[in-house]
Parts: sequence; C-alpha cells; structure tokens
Amino acid sequence: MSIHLNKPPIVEAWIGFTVAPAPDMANWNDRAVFAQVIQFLEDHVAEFPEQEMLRQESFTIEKRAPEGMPKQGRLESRVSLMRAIDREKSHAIQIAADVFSYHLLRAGDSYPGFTKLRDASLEKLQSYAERFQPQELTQIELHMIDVVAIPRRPDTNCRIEDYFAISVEIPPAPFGALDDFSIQLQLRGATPEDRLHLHFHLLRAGSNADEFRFRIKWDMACPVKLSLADKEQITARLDLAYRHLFACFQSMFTPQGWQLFEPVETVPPCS
Amino acid sequence: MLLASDLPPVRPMYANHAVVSYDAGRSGISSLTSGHPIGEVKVGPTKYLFRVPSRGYFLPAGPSSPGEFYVDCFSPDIVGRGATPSAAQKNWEEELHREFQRLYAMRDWEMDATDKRRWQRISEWIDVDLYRNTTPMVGREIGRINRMAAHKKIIQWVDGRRERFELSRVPGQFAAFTQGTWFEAEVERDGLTGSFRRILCAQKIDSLDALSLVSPDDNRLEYERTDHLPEATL
Repeated sequence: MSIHLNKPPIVEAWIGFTVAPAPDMANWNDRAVFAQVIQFLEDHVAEFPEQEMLRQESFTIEKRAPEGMPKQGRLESRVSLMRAIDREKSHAIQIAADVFSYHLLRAGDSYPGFTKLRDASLEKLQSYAERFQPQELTQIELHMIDVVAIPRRPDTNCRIEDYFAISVEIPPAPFGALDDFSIQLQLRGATPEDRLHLHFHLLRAGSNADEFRFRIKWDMACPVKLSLADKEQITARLDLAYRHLFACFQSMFTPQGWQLFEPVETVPPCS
Repeated sequence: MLLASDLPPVRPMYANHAVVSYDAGRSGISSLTSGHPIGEVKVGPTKYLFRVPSRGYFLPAGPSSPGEFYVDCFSPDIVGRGATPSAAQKNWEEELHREFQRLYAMRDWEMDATDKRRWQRISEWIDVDLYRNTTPMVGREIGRINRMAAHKKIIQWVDGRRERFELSRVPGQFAAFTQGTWFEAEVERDGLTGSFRRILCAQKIDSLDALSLVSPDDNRLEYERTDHLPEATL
C-alpha cells in the first residue's frame, strides 16, 4: 500500500552528489576545469538549452591608517556554479566545485514523483562521471521544498497546531498572536551519520492574500563512500533517505493538515 | 502557536535571518526557487540599494497562475511574474523600479492612503537619500563654446553660467565644435551638488547671439502695455 497525493505541496526537489575529484583534477576556477564544465553543458544542450552562470562577489576588508580615508575594498569575483534549464522550465542540472545536482521544479499541478527524479538524476550522474572521472561518491543530498497554503479567514487567527504537528508552545499571555515565525531544526536521518535540516517558516503572502503560505525546506545530507559505478548501492541509499524524509514529512501534519494534499492510498500492481 | 490574522509588514530590523541563513545545501548548490539575498536592484543605469539584504522566493506556476517571485518585505504589493525564477525576478525588479519611480515623482499631498503606505514601505527598505544623492540629474541645456584650450573647452550656458570641461567628458562629435558654436545638449549633473559630470549627446543649433543683442529698449512695446494698465481702486 502506498500513498499518492493529489495536491502535493512540493515546489522543488533536487538530488545532489558530492564527489572526490580525480587526483589530477585542477582547481574549480581553473580555466581547464571551466572548459570541461562548459563542454559538459554543451553535451546536454539539446535537453537543457538555457544556461546560466552564478557569479559570487565578496569584499575583502582592508585596514585603514588612523585619520586616513577608508579604502575601497577589493571586490573578489568567482564563478560559484553553472546551471542549465530545460525548455519547460521544470528540470535543471547544476555543477559546482566537485558537486553535481539534478533539480525538478513543479510545473502546473504535475509532480512526477521521487522515483523519476532519482532515475533521471542517476542517469545524469553517469554522464557527469564519464566527463570528470571522479574517484568516488562522498555525499548524497536530498532536498525538497514544500509550500503549504492554508485558507485565511478575515479577522480569524490561524492556529498552527490545527495543521502542523511541529510547533512551539508560547504562553498566550502576554505574547498573544504571532506576526511571523521561523523554526529551524537539525535532526538525525535514517542512519546515525545522516543529517536532516528542517526549516519551517511563514511566507509573506505573495500575490494571494486569501491564504497563509508556509514554506518547509528539507535538506538531507548522507555521507557515503561509494563507487560511482555502483548504481544499485546509490539507488538503495537514496531510497533509504527518501523513505525517512517522507515519513518525517507525513508526521509533520495533523490529520486536518494532511487532508490539504488530498491523499489517496494505492495498491501497487502485482509483479 | 497562534498566527495573527492581520500580519503587519516586515521591518528591516527583523530581517537579519534572511541574510544569515544561507539557503543552500551543504555542498553550496543552491535552490532554484529561493534566490540569494538581494542587496541592490539595478534596472538600466538606475540603482536601488537596500538597507538590509532580503531574500526572494519563486513559486512555480500553478495550473492557472504564472510563476511568481516575491520578496517578503515588499509582498504582496510587488510581485514578479515569469516562467523561470530568473524571468520572474527580472519582472519583480522592473515592478519595483516602476513603483519606486511612480511614488518618487509624487508630492506628499498627491498620494492617497495606499500610496503613502507603499512609499513608507519602500523607503523603509531602500535608502532613498542615497538614491537621491547618487542618482544624476539629466536635462537639456543650451550653450555656446566660449573659449578653447588644449584638451579643454569653456562653455557659457544661456543662463550665464560658465563651465570648463575636458574632452573625455563629452561625446566624440563635440570635439569638432569650434569657438562660438551654439549647441543643445543632454547634460548629466551631480544629483546633490548640480556640478557638471558629462554631456551625453549634443547637436549644433542656430546661433542665438542675435537674441543677446536685444536691448531693453527694443522691448518698449511690452513696457508700454504694462505702463498703461488702468489703476485699480481697492
């Protein structure tokens, strides 16, 4: 028996892979590595035609002489990551220093589900491995972002506990109703080494004032030591992480909150 | 935990969480739906500097709604729309630019209650004084090349002001203008002091020297009209 959500709150999901680079691999900002990254994106240009580069800029602080004028800080600029997006704007790949990720953005109501995300990301990972020849996989990450919308009634405060099982107890007096909140939790994952970071906070409306929007961001990091050729082991590790994350997701809601997603229990077809 | 039904706007002093919580995985790969903290917005040559950086979020398109990009402190007044996070963010920046310029051009008495509320929110987050002081004034001015020296020219504007400038601050065709040439130019000046910065474009015009030769006596008809007005009895 499995659960299907007719209205999944998910807006983005991605799987990230951190690798130990090939011994002769140069630094990320090296021209040769950059050329390889460009070539990798070119290999996938038919599927991901829109390409973007994220440049990170940072100031360095420099001391000034007493009574002297402050000096202009030196602006350091480096490429943080490269990304490529498909025509439908629903899938993307990103490459940073020794990291590769595959993203899935909800388009309309459709969310293809974790299995498709996993299979597609593993397929692209093989392509990444062929190009960059990393030694091994050192970390798997699973990220999900949900936006839960709760109808807003005029002049009626919203009780978080009616919808969410995660909350903070605050004495009603003298605190009263909240204007905003943000809860961050660091939790264990499916194994003692895994870490799950949960960020649950209010979104300030957007264009729709008829509902409260809550954003839940799940970041699961699983340290591993796996060969990139061992697809079976990687799949098993990802499935383990996902089952734990889904169990946490389900436990986060009260029965009333869970009904927002219109869950349906389905029986998988006999094999 | 009770959430107030009427959420007040976010204040800059509460916004630090948006800066310190780097919304990326441990590996540094970032989400496509949550942007990096926005510290400034640039639309063409216009730049808006935020007092406190704030984070924007992208909500993918629904079955009947386009993708939306919004920043907590400006929500729900300013929302960007687009199919991708970058397209929606660009639209949001243009919306902010349009709204800022619309309200910036208004006097206090011209604003209704909604405009006042929106302007207050914008000026809480965007450093309006800095914008005013760093945004140049651009206007059309008429002048004449008064004197020429090596690499420098002295302009006399029609209002009598004289300014010296270097050829590096004027467009190329200006270098060919000779002494006595009259021109109309688009001039960029410092927003705070009004001092000359550069000429963006210029074109020669007919000489206005004849006008300057007109003596007050030649306008006697005007004087006569006003001299012979009937006196009112109050």
